[in-house]
Amino acid sequence: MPRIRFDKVHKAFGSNTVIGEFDAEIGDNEFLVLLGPSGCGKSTMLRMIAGLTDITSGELTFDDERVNDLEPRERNIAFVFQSYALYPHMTVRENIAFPLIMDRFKGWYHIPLVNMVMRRRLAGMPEVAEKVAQVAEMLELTDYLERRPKALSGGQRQRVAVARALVREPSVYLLDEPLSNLDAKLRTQMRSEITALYQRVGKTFVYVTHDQVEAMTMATRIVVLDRGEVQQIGTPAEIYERPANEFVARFIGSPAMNLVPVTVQDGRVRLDENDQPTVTTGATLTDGTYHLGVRPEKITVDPSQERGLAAQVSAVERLGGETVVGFRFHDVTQDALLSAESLRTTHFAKAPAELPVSVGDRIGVEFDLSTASWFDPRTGDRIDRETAVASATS
Amino acid sequence: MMARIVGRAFSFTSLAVLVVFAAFPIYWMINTALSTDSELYRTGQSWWPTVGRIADIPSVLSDVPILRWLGNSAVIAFGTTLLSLALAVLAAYALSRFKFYGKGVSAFFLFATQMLPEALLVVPLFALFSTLGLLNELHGLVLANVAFTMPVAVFILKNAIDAIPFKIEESARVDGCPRWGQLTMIVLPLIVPSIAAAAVINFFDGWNEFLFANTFIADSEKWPASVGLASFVGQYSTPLSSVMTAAFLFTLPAIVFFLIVQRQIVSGLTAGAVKG
Amino acid sequence: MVTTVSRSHATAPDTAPRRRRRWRNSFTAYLLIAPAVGYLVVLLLFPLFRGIQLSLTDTKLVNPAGGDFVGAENYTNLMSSGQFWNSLLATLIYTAATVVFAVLLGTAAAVFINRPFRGRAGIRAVMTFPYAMPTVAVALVYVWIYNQSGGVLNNSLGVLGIGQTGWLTDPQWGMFSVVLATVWKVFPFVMLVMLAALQSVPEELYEAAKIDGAGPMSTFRAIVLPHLAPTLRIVALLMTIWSIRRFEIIYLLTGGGPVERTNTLVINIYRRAFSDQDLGVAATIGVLGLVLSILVTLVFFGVERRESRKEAAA
Ligand SMILES: Nc1ncnc2c1ncn2[C@@H]1O[C@H](COP(=O)(O)OP(=O)(O)OP(=O)(O)O)[C@@H](O)[C@H]1O
Ligand SMILES: [Mg+2]
Repeated sequence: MPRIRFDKVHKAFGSNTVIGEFDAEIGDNEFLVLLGPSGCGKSTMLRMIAGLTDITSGELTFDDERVNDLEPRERNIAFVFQSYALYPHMTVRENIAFPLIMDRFKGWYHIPLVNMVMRRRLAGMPEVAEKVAQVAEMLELTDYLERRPKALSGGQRQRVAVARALVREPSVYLLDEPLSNLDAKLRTQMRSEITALYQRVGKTFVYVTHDQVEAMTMATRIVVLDRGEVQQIGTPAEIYERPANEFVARFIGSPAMNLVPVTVQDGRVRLDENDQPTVTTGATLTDGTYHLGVRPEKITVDPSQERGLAAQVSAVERLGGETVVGFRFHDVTQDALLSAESLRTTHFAKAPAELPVSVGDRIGVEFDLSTASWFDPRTGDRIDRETAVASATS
Repeated sequence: MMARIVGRAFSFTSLAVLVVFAAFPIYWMINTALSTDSELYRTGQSWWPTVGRIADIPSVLSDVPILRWLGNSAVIAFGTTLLSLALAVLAAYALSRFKFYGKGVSAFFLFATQMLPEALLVVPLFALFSTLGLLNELHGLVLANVAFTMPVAVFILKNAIDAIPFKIEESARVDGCPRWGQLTMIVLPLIVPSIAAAAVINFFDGWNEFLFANTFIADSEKWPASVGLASFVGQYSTPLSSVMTAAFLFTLPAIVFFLIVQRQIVSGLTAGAVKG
Repeated sequence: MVTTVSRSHATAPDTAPRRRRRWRNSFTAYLLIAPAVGYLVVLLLFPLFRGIQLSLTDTKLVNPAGGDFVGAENYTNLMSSGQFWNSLLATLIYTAATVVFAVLLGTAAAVFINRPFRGRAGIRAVMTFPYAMPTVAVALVYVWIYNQSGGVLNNSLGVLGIGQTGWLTDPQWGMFSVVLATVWKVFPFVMLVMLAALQSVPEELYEAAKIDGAGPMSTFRAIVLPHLAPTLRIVALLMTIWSIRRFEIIYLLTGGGPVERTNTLVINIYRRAFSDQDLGVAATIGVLGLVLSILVTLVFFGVERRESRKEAAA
């Protein structure tokens, strides 16, 4: 169970930089999730850990041993590919046994014809056969051992891929979007199966996904990537509650965090989009403009308009358990509803399911500022109130 | 309605004409094989074969040493196929899976061989083989054939390997399988249909080859069937029905094999033709 | 092993081991491709250069190693010899005729056989027999079919009361007969390739055409033909290159006769080398034939480039 450390890891394909400069450390038994939009370099990161892609510069160490130039098998890792990459010509049993057989393969076994004989012999060895049976049992694949991958469902294939990873008892599991090919229901099920597996084997997992639900539910720590740059590293709660910048704020959460342009003056906050009442706040920020970040569930909608700021409903999505209310501080006109500008200035709140609102209604909205985030509108970076206060007082 | 019937009738007739056109010479070969020379040259050949003459086929073997020639053809064809595939598998794997300096040139070089007329090369090859003592030898013929069959096999196999997701080999690499093992245990089993197609195409290139064999092999004991049979063209001392029977025996394996792996051959040919 | 090396280089990352690995990777690639390329260099490229070299000498078959350098003499002699131009003409006629008829016939066969009907697989198999049949066997059968006194062609014509000819011996008919046999032999290749191309025409296109009320002819012209065009061009190129190269069937049917009507460049090479024993001149003809093939290919790729540019613009 190695500690994996990245020291200024950089990757470029030709002149095209894919990973800027990656510094991080993955502790023992962590479930680290690499999260980011498509094309941000997640798979590339994972493949560098696996040794399938060369690291352009920087250093990757497992327990302080530099592994940049080790072959994948020498790193004692397992890799589950997005497409599973099962061996189509082998049965499930042969697929699962393959890593074990390769461990016991000697150089001269590779001579044509000899390799067929030796493979059969190795597969018949009790330690191999038992291990395969045991892993198959654990993943409920026993009934499918003689089938080819073609004759399996998506979920079963995925389990075979996991079984193949598991059988060699590696110390690091690398998984590249293993659930992205499954339908929603199976995905939920496999999510909990992988979590259970993680808890059972107690090894280090590095898991790539662009699905924030997977990240939030499975990770012990998340690395948010965008365009090859690390945006934030932290626990799911930290990432959710204290996003390091506007990218993270928008990427995590559904609907995303609301970012409202505001001006702070003398400790009072005024919404730029709306010249009516200013909000009194306990925030001790230096004067200036900010983006105020508020999670949808931290906004209270009051249909009676008695409390909060005046706003108008522009969208209502009833999800059954709750209702998402889209609102704007400007007046809502029909033709403005669809414009890009109106989408940008629409904010979302999560309200109880039965809340009696419909599009066009005038409502009051109240922000819970005690949990709000503040961002620098120029850099998009988070401004911690404490540091802001500190710089204000010094 | 009327137009449709006319259209149907037209395409049915055309198809029938095409089938007759394609099949007639083969039918005629069989018909001739089952006729006697007196019919052929005097009374006139019947449209229908005398099926009972099949029993006389063994007597052909005394007129024409066809079994020996077919044996030579088989040796040449097997040798050509084995050598050609051994070289082609490695080259196709390299072209499909590696980046290296000179890859484009190598690929072009392989395609360019399609343009070289054998008749141009037969002269310098004749000189080369006579210095190397390869004239009049079956293995010399194999060497010459492979130069023309191997590039075809490379194209078919490269296309087949290109179609395998690279992830499967990477997966094997993670499982601890070295490069050579990836080729023999992962890639090759997955392209078996294409290997079969390439093998059949190469086999019958070797089986049918005439020009080199006719030029390099002087000894009639070592003739392949193509050269042996060609020696009967315009020669009337051997009964024509025997010659035709021998030709039929020569044709039969080619057609049977072609039918068995037809689907793979077609996809092999199409890949070669379309990807060029 | 690599580990120890890399540890000692820990301060200067990605230098020696990386380069070594990359080099090892290329080395593997070269190792894999070297046998094939080396083979072709020895058995094709070297003979080709020898051939070009021979074309500049007056080498004779009896003494292949001897022969004096004569410069471009063979070339100038050929250029001023009517025999050579006849041979070139025969090549062009033979090539054009076989390519046109084989492509037409093969495409037509593919179109007829593309529609599903009972017994289609069997009919398709029968139509591919000519392609599978060894050329020597083809030649034997056609020589008999074309035979002046007992051949089925003349016998049938006789029954119809039409005059008979020596199909392979009459200068008027020699080329025709050779082309017919060749077309018979090669049209299944065109058929198979075009069939595959036809089956890749998306079904929706036909349906769209039907909805637009297009008849079978206009559907073919507007939908199918454009889809087939790229494959047709490739097939035509291959057919052309192969026709320029084709030796056996002509050699066995007519040997270049009657009166040199079918004496294509390739036949000419062989006769010059092994009948006239004049290797120098034979090689010269070969080089010129090769130039012809290369020209055809270049023209083809020129057309291809223009077409793809047109498609990109459209
Ligand atoms: N072999 C390669 N050569 C050149 N560029 C590459 C190569 N592999 C990946 N890239 C580029 O690197 C970037 C990151 O790719 P990567 O596959 O890591 O993205 P990803 O985050 O896994 O995306 P996805 O979620 O779509 O899988 C992309 O812009 C891609 O185009
Ligand atoms: Mg990816």
